[in-house]
Amino acid sequence: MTAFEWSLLASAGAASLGGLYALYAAWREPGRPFHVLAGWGLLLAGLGAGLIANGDRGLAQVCVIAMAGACAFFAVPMMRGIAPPVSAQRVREGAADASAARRSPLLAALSGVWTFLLSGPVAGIIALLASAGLFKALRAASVSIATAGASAIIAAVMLWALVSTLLLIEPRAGRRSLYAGAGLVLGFAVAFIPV
Amino acid sequence: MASSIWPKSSKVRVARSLSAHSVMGLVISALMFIVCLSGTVAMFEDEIGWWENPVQAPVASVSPEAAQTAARNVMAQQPDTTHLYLYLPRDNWQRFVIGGDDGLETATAAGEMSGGYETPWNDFLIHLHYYLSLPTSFGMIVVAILGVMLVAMAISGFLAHPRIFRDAFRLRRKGQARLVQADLHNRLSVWTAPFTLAVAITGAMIGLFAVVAMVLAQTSFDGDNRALSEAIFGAEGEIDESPAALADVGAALITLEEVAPEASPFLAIVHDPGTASQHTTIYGEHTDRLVYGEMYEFDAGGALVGDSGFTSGEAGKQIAMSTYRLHFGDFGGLAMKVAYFVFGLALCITVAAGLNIYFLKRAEAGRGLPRLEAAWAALVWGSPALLAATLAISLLGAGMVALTGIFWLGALALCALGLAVKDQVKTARWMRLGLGVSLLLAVGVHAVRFAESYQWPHVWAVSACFVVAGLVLVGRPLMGLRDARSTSPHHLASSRP
Repeated sequence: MTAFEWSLLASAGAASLGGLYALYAAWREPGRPFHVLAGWGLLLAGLGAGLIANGDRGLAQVCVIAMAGACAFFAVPMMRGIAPPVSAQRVREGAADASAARRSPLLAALSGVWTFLLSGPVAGIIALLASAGLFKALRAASVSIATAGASAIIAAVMLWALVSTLLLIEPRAGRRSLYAGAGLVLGFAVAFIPV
Repeated sequence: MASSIWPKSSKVRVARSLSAHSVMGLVISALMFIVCLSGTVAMFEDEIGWWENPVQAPVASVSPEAAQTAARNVMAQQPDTTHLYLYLPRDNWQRFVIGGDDGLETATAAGEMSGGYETPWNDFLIHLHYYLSLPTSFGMIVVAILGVMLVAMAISGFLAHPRIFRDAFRLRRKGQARLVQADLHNRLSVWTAPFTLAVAITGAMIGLFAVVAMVLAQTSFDGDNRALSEAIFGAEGEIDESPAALADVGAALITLEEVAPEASPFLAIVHDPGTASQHTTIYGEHTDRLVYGEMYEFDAGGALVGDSGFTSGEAGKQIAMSTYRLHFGDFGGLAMKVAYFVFGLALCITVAAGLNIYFLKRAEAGRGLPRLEAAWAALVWGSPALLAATLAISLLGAGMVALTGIFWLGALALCALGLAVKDQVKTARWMRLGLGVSLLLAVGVHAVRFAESYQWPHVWAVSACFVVAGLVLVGRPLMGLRDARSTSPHHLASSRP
């Protein structure tokens, strides 16, 4: 790195920390939109300058500097001691789980296992099939194997996480199963469709 | 407080997201915690691995001639090896490690093998983080799925967090325990979210690569499982096993210096050494890129054949090759590693506080689980204590298998102890004390066993870090005990005039 690039990277780090401070000031005394804009602006400017100074590595380094600044902010009060995770409430002897009392333990266990299967392996299969479909679509658009493959891997990870979350957010087991089934059918269709 | 400029979140959506977040957290917290903790410690795997077996003086640089001598020495020791490895010294890793299919050894700056590369504790730690001590191919997928779940936790956590901007800097230290834990959990997770997402996504990508390659093989490559990896990382050529003089690694290093002076070489591999089809690959670090390195190919005489395009080729290659450094924080020397270590600790605290919130909510509803709370405290503080204890034990000569057994059986035993003690504060205090004592013990054993190595700065620097951490961990519980005694009713009564 040249001296100019070093200076730019240092400025980028300083800008990201300045952005954090502006956001903190806006949080401490609400109703100051300029501080909010300046905060996000400085953070973005810091990221941009990091990218120019040291490529994608510079971008990552400025991200780390900003996160380190936030961690340092929280570390100070944490070092002074945090209340232990002990409830002031005493355990009421014999207090029963009301929701558990309404359902048979066997049904509750089966429901739990079914939910786990849907949000884990089934969501995974849906994501993998959908990513295979994405790979086919990208290849059909003349994207290279390496780029289409890397996109498919990232898509598999993100889709798995997203499908898992969405299935768990649905409270009714019947609908959840229906959505998962539809996802599987759709996944198989896009993965094996001839392009 | 002024009204928020952000759209209001739906209460139903927040409640359902929170429920989804809780369900995921309950299912995976324990394993997730161990993966996060081992990953956090593994941030310093190079430094600790070096400290663990410090028999070789630091090697700042290796000349091309010494590299060639080292290659010849490896061939003499392992004549049937199919690959020959030379790990060259770097700025923050002043070692020269060489070897082949049958293992690696440290070497002197002149390229002479000097042994001493066995690091059982480091191997155990890496196996724990990469595979959760399971068989490798299965374990890697399990850990990758935990990475996917961490991404899912981040998504559901954000959806369940309606006051993300209003509470951006709020951290209550005292008061209602659940709110204190919730603040810890939310603030640390939100502000370190880029780190969490980066390590979770890259970890899952690394672990799921083989699975995705297998699926794509069935859907797009007529069952060819290697098609994807060959497209990204390249393929091995045809092998001609006719004997030939060993490839000139030194010449390849000189050529690299001439054609790509910006690349810092850190690994040289001779493929099929001593055969007619041998060729040399040198990985060079580009300090303005996140990619692991550019792969330069040389023929047996050391002439450049080409590069693999990891720094300037297809986007897919660049992305795939950037996962490693992004996951391990290896993109800015020790400072970035320290930052990643701190973020790793924050992630461990986030996971621990997440389950604490669940226990506290139950306790507030009159359905407390004090035994499980104590078992969780035992796992949270006992796991690092066990890592430190296994480090001390490994320095006494235990192997990786024994260390793995001690760790997992120890974790079970400590959780059982927590269940029996039924007091999470006391359990956590004992575990912290155990962690501190184990760290001090490890340094003590190390100092006796490797006294002569304390002439090198990296050895005493690592020991000093362990000693400081150990003293803090031992000192605080003891001070806590003293404070507790001095404020106990019995003490107050007995100290009255």
